[in-house]
Amino acid sequence: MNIPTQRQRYSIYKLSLFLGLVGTGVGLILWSMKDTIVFFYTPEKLILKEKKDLEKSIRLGGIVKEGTFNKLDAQSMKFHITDGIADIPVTYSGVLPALFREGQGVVVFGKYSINKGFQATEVLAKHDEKYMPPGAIEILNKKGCWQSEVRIKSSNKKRGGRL
Amino acid sequence: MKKKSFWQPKIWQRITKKLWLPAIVLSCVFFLVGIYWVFEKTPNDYQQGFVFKIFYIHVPAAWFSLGLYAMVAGLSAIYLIFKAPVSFILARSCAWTGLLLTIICLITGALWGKPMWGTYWVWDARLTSMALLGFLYIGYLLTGSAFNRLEMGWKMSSFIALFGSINLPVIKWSVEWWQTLHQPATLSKFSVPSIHNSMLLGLSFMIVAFFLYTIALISLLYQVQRFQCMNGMKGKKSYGI
Repeated sequence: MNIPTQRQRYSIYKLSLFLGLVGTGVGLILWSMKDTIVFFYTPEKLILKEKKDLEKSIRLGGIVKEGTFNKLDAQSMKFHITDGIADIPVTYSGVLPALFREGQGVVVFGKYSINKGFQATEVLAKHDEKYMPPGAIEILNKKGCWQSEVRIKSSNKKRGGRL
Repeated sequence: MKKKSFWQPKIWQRITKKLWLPAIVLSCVFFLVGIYWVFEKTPNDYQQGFVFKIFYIHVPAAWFSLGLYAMVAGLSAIYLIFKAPVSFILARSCAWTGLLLTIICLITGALWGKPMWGTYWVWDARLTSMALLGFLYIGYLLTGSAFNRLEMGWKMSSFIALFGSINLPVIKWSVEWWQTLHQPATLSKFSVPSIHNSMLLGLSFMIVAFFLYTIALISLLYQVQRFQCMNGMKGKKSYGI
């Protein structure tokens, strides 16, 4: 590449300025919208919401708490969604995704009120970014491959905070 | 003058003409071996079972669609600075390929989402920004050929490509910055992969296959794009095309 001429250097400055300004602008917009860009609220965030914000349907995400899943009849069910900080009871009637089970991350859509709990009209299952063959955790633990064990444990901790 | 030769579209014509056939043959070989490995030698996932194997198409397609957009943006910057038509023609070839990979990524993602999440599509940050990437590719390609004065279209579309590059970090980190339905990245540069070793080899086959396919497609598209640009430039100033 040749040494850039005056004009080329000038256009390098112009383009970097353009990108810098537009990038900052988009960054500021995203920053100011950071509460609306989230796909779902965690239980912790949801219980802090004011009553007028709860009139619309919203999404709530977290882990299905172990031992809370109850079938009310053939269609409807009840379970608690937790993020390790707060629990919210959810009622739902309809089909569940295949991955749904206790201890699994889910995102539910519906209305929340403090008296009735969360009445969901849609349940989506979340899965994490870890892939392994069945039984791999047990085998790894037996062999004493601590690295993988630590990874799983720490990610669970992270999950409690973030999911 | 020797250094300057890479600015001439003719040189790239010669390179791409030689490149496309071996690239596509090798790509097919890697793809077939990869598919065999994925379906025969790779275990199912402990919770997603067989469906997990969409991963091996979805992830390489997503990576290369992002990587190609970065190429398009870089080449567009080079075009805007040095006004070399060759970088515009290359950028356009990359953009077509990237658009195809974006569509593959979105379709395989939807097919993966339905059985696992329970929905084909949601408007979470990752999926929306990925759809935006597709629209940016389309916008770039349309603007590039929308003007009577060719150079005008080339310039405008290069600006669009640069402008859209802001979307790249948003896609990459959308799963970290906001709550999304999409899970965070499995493989990242700075940590141990969150995927079992027995599942990694298939992925590397597929990545090589996608890489070679990308090279082949860019090479073929380059020749088409160069022909179009050459026709458009007929009777005008010579650009060394």
